[in-house]
Amino acid sequence: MPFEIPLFIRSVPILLEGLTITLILSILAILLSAFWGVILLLSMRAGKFSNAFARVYIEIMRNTPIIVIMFFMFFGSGVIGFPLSGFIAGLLSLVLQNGAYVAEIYRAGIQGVSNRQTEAGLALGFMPKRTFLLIILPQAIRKVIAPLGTQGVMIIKDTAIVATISVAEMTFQARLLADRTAAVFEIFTALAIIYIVLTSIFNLGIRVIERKYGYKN
Amino acid sequence: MINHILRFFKSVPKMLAAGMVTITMMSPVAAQDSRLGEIVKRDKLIVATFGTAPPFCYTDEKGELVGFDIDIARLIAKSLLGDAKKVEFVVVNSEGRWPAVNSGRADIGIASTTVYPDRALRVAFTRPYIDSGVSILVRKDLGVKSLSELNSSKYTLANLSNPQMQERQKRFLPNVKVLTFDTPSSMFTAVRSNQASAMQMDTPVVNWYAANNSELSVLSENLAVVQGNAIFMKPGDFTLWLWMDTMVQEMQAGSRYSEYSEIYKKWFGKNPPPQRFYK
Repeated sequence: MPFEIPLFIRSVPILLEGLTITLILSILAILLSAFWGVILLLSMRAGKFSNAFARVYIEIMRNTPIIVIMFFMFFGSGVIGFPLSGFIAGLLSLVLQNGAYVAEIYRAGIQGVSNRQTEAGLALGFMPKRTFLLIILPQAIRKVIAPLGTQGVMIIKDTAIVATISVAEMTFQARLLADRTAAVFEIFTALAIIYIVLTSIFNLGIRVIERKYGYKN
Repeated sequence: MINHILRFFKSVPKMLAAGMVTITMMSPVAAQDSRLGEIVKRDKLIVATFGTAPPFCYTDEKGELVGFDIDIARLIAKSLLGDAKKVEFVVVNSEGRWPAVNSGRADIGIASTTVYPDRALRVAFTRPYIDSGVSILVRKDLGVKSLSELNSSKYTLANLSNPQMQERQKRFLPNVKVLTFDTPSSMFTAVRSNQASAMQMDTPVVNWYAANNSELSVLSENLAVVQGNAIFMKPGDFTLWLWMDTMVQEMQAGSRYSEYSEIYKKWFGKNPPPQRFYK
């Protein structure tokens, strides 16, 4: 089975048509997940009831396949009479699941800051809230840059799944093209390369941020 | 040391000669080596098919693959190997059917697959074993009765991710909004969940869906196109292709016509076209 180089090259511009939507979806999903994670973290710290609620939510989201969440959002919203567009249903699903992962990353980052820091803050006369905001949080943020970067890469890759609910992003274009031409290997190789370039650029950005602000021993 | 090198160079012509003999012995065999022989020797036909495309190839309540295409595959196995059970199915998705045959994982594909020029560059098609036509399945509650009524930006049409669907939609329903899915069952779920108002699909498929769902109906107007479904395989194997193509001819107009029309009647409730003067 020969690998058709010309077809491989011809497929790239068609895939790039879907790149815009992949990029918009990835950026929105990463930013909103980071924000949703903060809200979940705050509700975990706010009291017993909201803590239990957030924990249950996080467990459900972390243990459900993203495609199931997307089908629920997309087809389910139609059934109850408020059909969401594929893009919105996909974005919501990505944020709902990845926000749960991100909240766990935040929690781990905060737990990673030594208890003695809190004790020191209190001993210096800071109120508990100010101790958290001024002493613990800045250190925790530095610790979570790398794991957040990994989660970002996961989000970029997961955007491929919205192709199944009719969003014309990159993987969607690849499927259309593969179905038309029957040249699956060429097109999916081109697709893989574009994803690798995309995630590499993202990783590079994270690396730069990490070097500048990250936790140094 | 020098002796070793000399001995090596002395043996080079012998090695070359041996290589030449091997190549000349192998090449005519390789040229005649058809997958057909392999199938007969293996005593089993391996067929790539879909699991979610009723009534051609789908999974029933018992978890078994059934459908028109599945019965056609069994008829081929019966004709080739003498036993309808000597067939193994590989369930693939829409874009997975091409590598399934081109990589050699399956001998042939019978998967509700329309002949299309771009596709024929990379897989070999037999002549079509069925012309299914294309119809539109709509939600009854919309009150849409014709193609011209459906052709409005108020409505959404569910397509499959293949080129024929897009071309037909642009030709017959240019104003409608479009959603695109990778399996017929996702299209169908979109229509049932109100994400889409209608879907286009092979006429037997939409008839089957409408017969099983009271809230859906089929528009009486067909999309006027020929939809030739054919068996596909890795190109370049003339012996295998010729046998399969002959088999299709035998089913439609030869010694296997009675079995073929039985299968056709079983799934579509009528005799296959063209109608014959003898019955």
